[in-house]
Formats: sequence, structure tokens, C-alpha cells
Amino acid sequence: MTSETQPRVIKVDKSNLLDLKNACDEALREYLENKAGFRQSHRHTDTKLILGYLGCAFAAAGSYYGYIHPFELSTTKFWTAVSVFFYYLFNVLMMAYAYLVEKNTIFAGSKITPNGTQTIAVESSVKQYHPYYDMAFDMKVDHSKSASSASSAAPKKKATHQEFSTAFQYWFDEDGVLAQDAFEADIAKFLANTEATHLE
Amino acid sequence: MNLRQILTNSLNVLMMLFGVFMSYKAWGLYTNCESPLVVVLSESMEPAFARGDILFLSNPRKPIDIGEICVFKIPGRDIPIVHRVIDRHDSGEKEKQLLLTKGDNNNVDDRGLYQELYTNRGKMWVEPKDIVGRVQGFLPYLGMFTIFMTDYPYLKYALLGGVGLVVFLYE
Repeated sequence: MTSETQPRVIKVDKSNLLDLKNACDEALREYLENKAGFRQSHRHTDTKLILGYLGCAFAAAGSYYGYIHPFELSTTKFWTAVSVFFYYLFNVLMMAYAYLVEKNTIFAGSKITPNGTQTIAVESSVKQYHPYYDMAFDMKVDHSKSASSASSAAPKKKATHQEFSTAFQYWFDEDGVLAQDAFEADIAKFLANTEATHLE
Repeated sequence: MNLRQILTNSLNVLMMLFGVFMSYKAWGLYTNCESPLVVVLSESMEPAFARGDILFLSNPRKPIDIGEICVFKIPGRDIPIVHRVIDRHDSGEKEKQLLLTKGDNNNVDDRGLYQELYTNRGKMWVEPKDIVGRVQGFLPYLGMFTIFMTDYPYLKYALLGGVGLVVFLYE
């Protein structure tokens, strides 16, 4: 491993499951982006931001309209109702997006490989009273853009879904310090595994 | 914090504020009343309502009856009044009702109040346009919190700013 600056020590309260998860999420993101070479896609965050701010725009416009016009007018009531409706609609859409599309995704990104554009999405979760970090790797390779696409009889797009689970004890020491080497070695293994399955 | 983080946290603060505000608006539309919650400030309706009680208002379609308690605003005065209707003149249409009110705890009716401002000289009745809402229910003393915050506005700003900051900095 090329040693750059001293890597910062990640230390958490090891009796706090959420702390452990957040530390792993952060380390995983950093690894995928800086070491595995994936470019992060902010599609999920951006979609939610747009939906959220659209809702707020309706709320702000409706509030302002109500502020400058007397409430008794039926037009004021109508436009207030419209703004309330759209505010809640965009709120619900935003929540629906988080629950149905984004789910537990902590990283989405892609990189260009000789085989084509490789897209990855990683989900992570923990279960209460269960000291395991559950991961799901979703990998997709778009061969259409690769140099050797002429030879491939395989479908142009292929998706793989692989799940892994590791106990936190393998990654954190007694003091709650994350053993970056062990963590990254494991993640690299999972990545390679997913990739290998993908090529079968 | 990068730009996305800042935008996300700002959105959380905005949605917290608008969430409360839009719910209130929705409630206002449902009850047909611009401010469906008011806090009693005076003792003129004792023993029915005390200072600090929260009143729930609405504006039903049917005409206002004698004995109902109404919240109304006298033109030119900002603070609404909660008093009971003791007399009415109308032709059965709600839009043309003329009402006389009186606080349960006051010795006289409100004519003096109506005419306090010289611009209102000759105002003998509360008119439909003055009505804010009709009392449908109340919660005792919970409004003391609001009164306290109005008396000490810095407390309000501190509270709002504090909550906003916590939401903003929360990751």
C-alpha cells in the first residue's frame, strides 16, 4: 500500500450499534471512492433535494400569497389549498423515494473499466442486538461501451446481487478503533467476489 | 460540510418550519378560519376561560346564535377579543348578522369597546367581517407558554434558533 499521509483513526463507542454502522458506512464510501476508483453518483441525494425544495417552494409561495391577500376571499383559500396539497405531495414523494428507491443505499457510483462501465450500489444495514454489518453489493456492467464488445455474445447489460455479512468484532478492536487494513481487505474481497460472480 | 450536506441540512430546517406552518394552514382551511388557535389574554370571560387557555375556533356555515362565544377584531385594533354574543339582529342570513357581545366577567356590554377608537364612532354592532372565529373547544392553561414567549420575545428567538441549529448540524 502506498503510504500517503497518516490515515485518520476512526474511533467509536463500540456498544453503540448505530455508531459502528455509521463508521463502517463512512469507511466504505471512502474506500470505494478513493481506493477502488468509483466515482460517486449523487442521484439519490439530488432527487430528494429537488423534491424537498420544490415542496418548500410551493409552501413559501402559498404562504406569501396568503400573507398579502385576505383569507376570506375564495381565491386565497383556493391557492392556499393548492400550496398545502403540493407541499405534502412532494413530501410524500420524497419519503417514497427514500423508502422505495434509495432504501439503505450508502454508496452509488461507477467507473470505466476495459469491460465497459461498471456501476455499483452498496446497501448496508444492521439489526438490533445482532452485531453484524450486513451489506448488499449490486453490480452492473454496461458492455456496450467497451472496446471488446464485438466478441461478447452475452447480453449487453448484466446485473449481480451479492450479500455479505461480517461481525463488527473483526473490524473494531477493544477500544472501538476501526482496523482500516482489515476492513479494506475484507471489502476488497467482497468486491472481487461480486465481480467474479458477475463474470461467470 | 460540502454543498450537498449544507443543502440537505437547510432543507431539514425548512421542512421542520413549513411542516408546522402548512399543517396549521391545512387546519385553517378545514375549519374555515384563518387562525384556528388563539390564546386567551384577559380575564373578561372568567369563569369560562382564564388567561392562558387555548381556544379552538372554526367558522361553520350556520348563523351565529345568542350564547355562542366569538373571537372578533375591532377595526383598527390588532388584538382580538373573545366575548359572548348576547344579542343579534339579522334577517336569517349569516352575512348580514349584527351582533352585540359582552364578556361574562364584565359589568357592561361591549359597545364602549367598539367605539373606543374615534374612527369607529357610531359602531353599534360586531359585523360578520369582524368575526375571526367561533369557539368550539378549549384547553386550559396550555397557552401560558405562548404568553410567556410573547412577553419575553428573546426566549422565542433563542428557542427557534436553538432548534434550527440542532436540526441543521445534525447529520
